[in-house]
Amino acid sequence: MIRRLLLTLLFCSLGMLAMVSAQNSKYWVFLKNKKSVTFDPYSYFDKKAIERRIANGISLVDSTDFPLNSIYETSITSLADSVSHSSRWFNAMCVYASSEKIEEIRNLPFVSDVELMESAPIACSVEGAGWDTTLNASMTSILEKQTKRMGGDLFENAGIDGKGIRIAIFDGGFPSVNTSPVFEQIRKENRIIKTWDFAKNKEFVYGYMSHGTMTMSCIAGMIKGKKIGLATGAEFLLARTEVKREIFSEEENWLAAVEWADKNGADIISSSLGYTYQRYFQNQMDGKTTLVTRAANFAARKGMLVVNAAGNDGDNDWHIVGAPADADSCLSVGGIDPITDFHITFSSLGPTWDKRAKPNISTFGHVAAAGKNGMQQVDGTSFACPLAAGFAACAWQMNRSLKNMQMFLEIEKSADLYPYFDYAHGFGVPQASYFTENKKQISDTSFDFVKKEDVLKVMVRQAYLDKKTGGFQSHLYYNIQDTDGLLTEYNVILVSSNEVLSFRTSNYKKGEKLNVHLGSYTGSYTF
Amino acid sequence: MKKILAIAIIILISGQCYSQQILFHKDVKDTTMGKVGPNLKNFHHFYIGFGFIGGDNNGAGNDIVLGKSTNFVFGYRYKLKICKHYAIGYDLAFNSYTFALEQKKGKIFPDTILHNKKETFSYYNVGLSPYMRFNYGRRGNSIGKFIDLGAYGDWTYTARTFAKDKVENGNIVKITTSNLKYINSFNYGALVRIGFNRWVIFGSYRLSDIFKTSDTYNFSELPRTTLGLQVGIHK
Repeated sequence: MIRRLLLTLLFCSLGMLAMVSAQNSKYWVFLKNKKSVTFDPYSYFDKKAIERRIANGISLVDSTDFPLNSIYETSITSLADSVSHSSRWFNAMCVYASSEKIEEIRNLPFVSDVELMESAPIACSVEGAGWDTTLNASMTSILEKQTKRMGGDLFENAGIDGKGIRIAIFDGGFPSVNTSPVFEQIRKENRIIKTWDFAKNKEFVYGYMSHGTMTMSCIAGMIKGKKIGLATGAEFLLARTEVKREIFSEEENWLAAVEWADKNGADIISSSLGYTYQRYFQNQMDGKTTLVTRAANFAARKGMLVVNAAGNDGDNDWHIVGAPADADSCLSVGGIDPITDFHITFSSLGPTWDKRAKPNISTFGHVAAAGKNGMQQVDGTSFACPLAAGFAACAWQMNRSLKNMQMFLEIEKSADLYPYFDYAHGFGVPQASYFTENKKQISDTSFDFVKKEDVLKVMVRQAYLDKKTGGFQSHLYYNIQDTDGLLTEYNVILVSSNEVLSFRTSNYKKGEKLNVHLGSYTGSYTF
Repeated sequence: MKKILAIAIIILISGQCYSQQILFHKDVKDTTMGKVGPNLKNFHHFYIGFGFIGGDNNGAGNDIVLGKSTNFVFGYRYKLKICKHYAIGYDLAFNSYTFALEQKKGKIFPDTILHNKKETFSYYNVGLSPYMRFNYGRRGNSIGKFIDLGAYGDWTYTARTFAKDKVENGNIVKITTSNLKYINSFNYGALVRIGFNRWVIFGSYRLSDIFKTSDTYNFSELPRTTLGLQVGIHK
């Protein structure tokens, strides 16, 4: 009898558990206005944030920076179970409330909308994690390549290391950043300006997931005199926004962190997170639907350069870039394989659902990074993103007069495939030479289009083949672009003789375009 | 191999000829929302589960050893989404129940002989279980959090008892008895599941009787409740 009772109780508790978890949910409560609030930008913003606004021609008094109306806040707080965060930009509060209370909140005259929240996972893999202080040959090789591929030695020779640029990193924790020799110089020079754990609402961030340590090392780490990332002289704001391994991210934390970064003068946000199928559908990757995407665009409007990982869904059903990498103003970074030098299989692809071109650029998707206890080789666009963020800091240091979106475009232009573009590589890997030599290297024409009757051939010039020293110079990229400017296919092929490609022109519609890139030369043919 | 063939066919169709090695090729697919997915119109996947049988040992001569009496299931689950918070579906599953029988005085099932190692009664089924699913919480194209309520009907294709004894000379004697005449071929019951994505806690309650009642056999029913964990085999 007792057992039967116990089992009945167990069944009931299962049901109750479900009901309880359904009842006390987390919601975004959006407010209608900011009536009767006062705002002093000089007391709210960090000096650096004011400088950035002035440099970008942004007003210091913008209603989106105003605090929330305190009367509204008090009313909502009295009804909610608890308040987690609030957002000035979205004029919203994040609250825990029962379904009855949230209805009461929804009916308040100053509430414009209520949105249910959930946490959302994104897949980012860490391979070969382990304690390793030494740099083996394979690790050294990757380490040297990951900055050299962007022409990092040119920045180094020019003494450019991101000095004066403030980078906010959003991640799941930064264990050993406060002790590791990889970040010693940063600590010595007090260049970790502020830290905040948005999951626990406290300053300490030097624990939890080592993912943040690794991404930070890909921006600014140094090991045995070798640069892991390029911006070894930059300043940092470290925000813990994610709360579980395999990156259970909280969109709410991201929003709070981006406003915090703005307030504290960040120039660049490096965010290796993304929201995909757990929370959204693919048709919501349209650059305007998700809150985090809108926040990324907001951050750009405030003068910050948002650098975000494209995502690791290229080889699964999701396929396309996640949020916020789908944002127009977000520099979305895809991954290439350091061995093959083209798209690494897992890196998410463009276009966005609404057919916009993404990712913007690529860097290595397999890197050597500093973890909690030593160097590791790791995979993920999570690490391509900070490599690009480090590059951006150096490029911006050299061009402080540029506004954030001008810098965005310059970084795209610096990429080695530019003006060629495809949905796997974006414009390719950004190159320091574009900034240090103040121009893009113009190379000789490497191929010609030759049309005979119905056949169009792409012929590689003999001079190019003679000069070619092997390696990746022999990769030819080409795509077919339809009359709306969308790519219908794209390819990378290995060049070994003059006659590379031939096309039957009658198979293509009038106005469709063939774009080809070889060496650093891009040519197009319109059918 | 299939990929290479596909690329070759695409190339032939599109009228392009290559004299070079293709390293990377992508066709840009039409971006239309599919109909098959964890939170789309249709979804199906395999699953595996393990549970414990529990309930009242009524002292009628067929008490079971709790913790050693188990249920195993491997099945296929289909879900049809009706609206955001409601879906219906069915499971087709192979499952087995094994009851570890307590060896103590007064035992009458399947007989009164006490075995010094162990004795079990097992039956194996294939079954169909229709269910209703209530989803809650916001989610994208993932299964999310849910509660399932349903029923099951199983056809028992075999049942057997197994006894194991250590005899005086140290040898082990195992006896399997099958083709049991006192077993009903069909049984049915109610089920409840609570889950988050691939992880599912399930419970079932057998409403039908395992044993036939006749002049020859008149066993008390075995415990009817099962509780366990299922894992969906999907992303």
